[in-house]
Amino acid sequence: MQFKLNRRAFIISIFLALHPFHAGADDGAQTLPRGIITVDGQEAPPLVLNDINGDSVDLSQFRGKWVFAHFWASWCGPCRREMPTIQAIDSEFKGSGLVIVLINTAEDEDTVFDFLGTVAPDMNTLLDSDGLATEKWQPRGLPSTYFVDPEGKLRYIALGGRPWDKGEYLGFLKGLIKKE
Amino acid sequence: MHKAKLVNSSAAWVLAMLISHPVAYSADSKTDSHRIEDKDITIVIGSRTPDQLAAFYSGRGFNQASIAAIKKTCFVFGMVDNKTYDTLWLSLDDWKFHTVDGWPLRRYKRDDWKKIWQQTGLSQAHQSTFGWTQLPENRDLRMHEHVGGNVAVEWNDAPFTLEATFRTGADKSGEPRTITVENLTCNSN
Repeated sequence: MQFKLNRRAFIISIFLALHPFHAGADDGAQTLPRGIITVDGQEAPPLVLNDINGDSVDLSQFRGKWVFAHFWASWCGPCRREMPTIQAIDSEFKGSGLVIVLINTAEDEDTVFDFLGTVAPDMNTLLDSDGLATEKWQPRGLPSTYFVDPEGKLRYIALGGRPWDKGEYLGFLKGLIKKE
Repeated sequence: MHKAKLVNSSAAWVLAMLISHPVAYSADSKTDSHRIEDKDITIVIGSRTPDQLAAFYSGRGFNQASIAAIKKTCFVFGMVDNKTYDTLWLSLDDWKFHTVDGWPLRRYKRDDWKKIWQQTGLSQAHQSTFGWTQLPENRDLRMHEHVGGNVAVEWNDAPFTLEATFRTGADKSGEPRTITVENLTCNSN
């Protein structure tokens, strides 16, 4: 009997070793959609830039809400594919506990106007005209999305472009607001 | 025929890896790209023509002196996709380019480009754009994360080889992976 139990345990352990479970999260947190990773909660770097209307925006003015800080450029293919999904969620979360902030990296106003006018005409963006503000955030590439919590701390990063208006990603965003 | 080789520390390890990590390799003569793929990693390596690069950067307003500097350089594009490692380390210092005779080819790092841009008077915004189109010098790739971009090496008329080594594991203590891509060329127009 003891032998049978040990043999069963051995077989189960071999099965588990050969078939590791992937919960869909990258860091072991089972509720995170694929491509979203947790970060250590350090303070978000300061960010004060003008938007395409010429109005100055300071990221710290959004304390008390989650911030979806999205770095992008028009020449980047994944940015082009992702932008319409961000426009789709922007209207959904307007006035909620989640603020969507776009930051264009190192492009001129004409390029940004042309791109947004075609791809996401309802969106505004901050203009990091020389690219230096972006570099302070050290994105892992373009596009990059950071989630800043209501206390101004970095909590999650999205790796590359994600379909924000779809299932698990939309659920993740709604879950952030519910947390508060 | 192009060949891709996995180089590991012992013959036994190589045998074990070949059994558990069958590697698919393909070369596309139209785009001069090489694709190496197994269950853990996908790598695509190829080269851009000077005209492709000039068109991309001219379209973004780069000045002519900077375009001339770019056109004199051989740009290899790379895409690395980490499919299963908890962490796969991209470190371009671990990418060795050499001729078939074994002579190392110089790789232009970001600091090298800064000096070039000072000479050509490229604006800060354009330097930033150029930087984002290059592969990062160092990057921890999480599982399911990929990264793409260019690597600049000195122009060479003959085919050359890349030996790219990746450390693995969060603390870099995992078995390293080395992938060799032969018959790369600087793609003239």
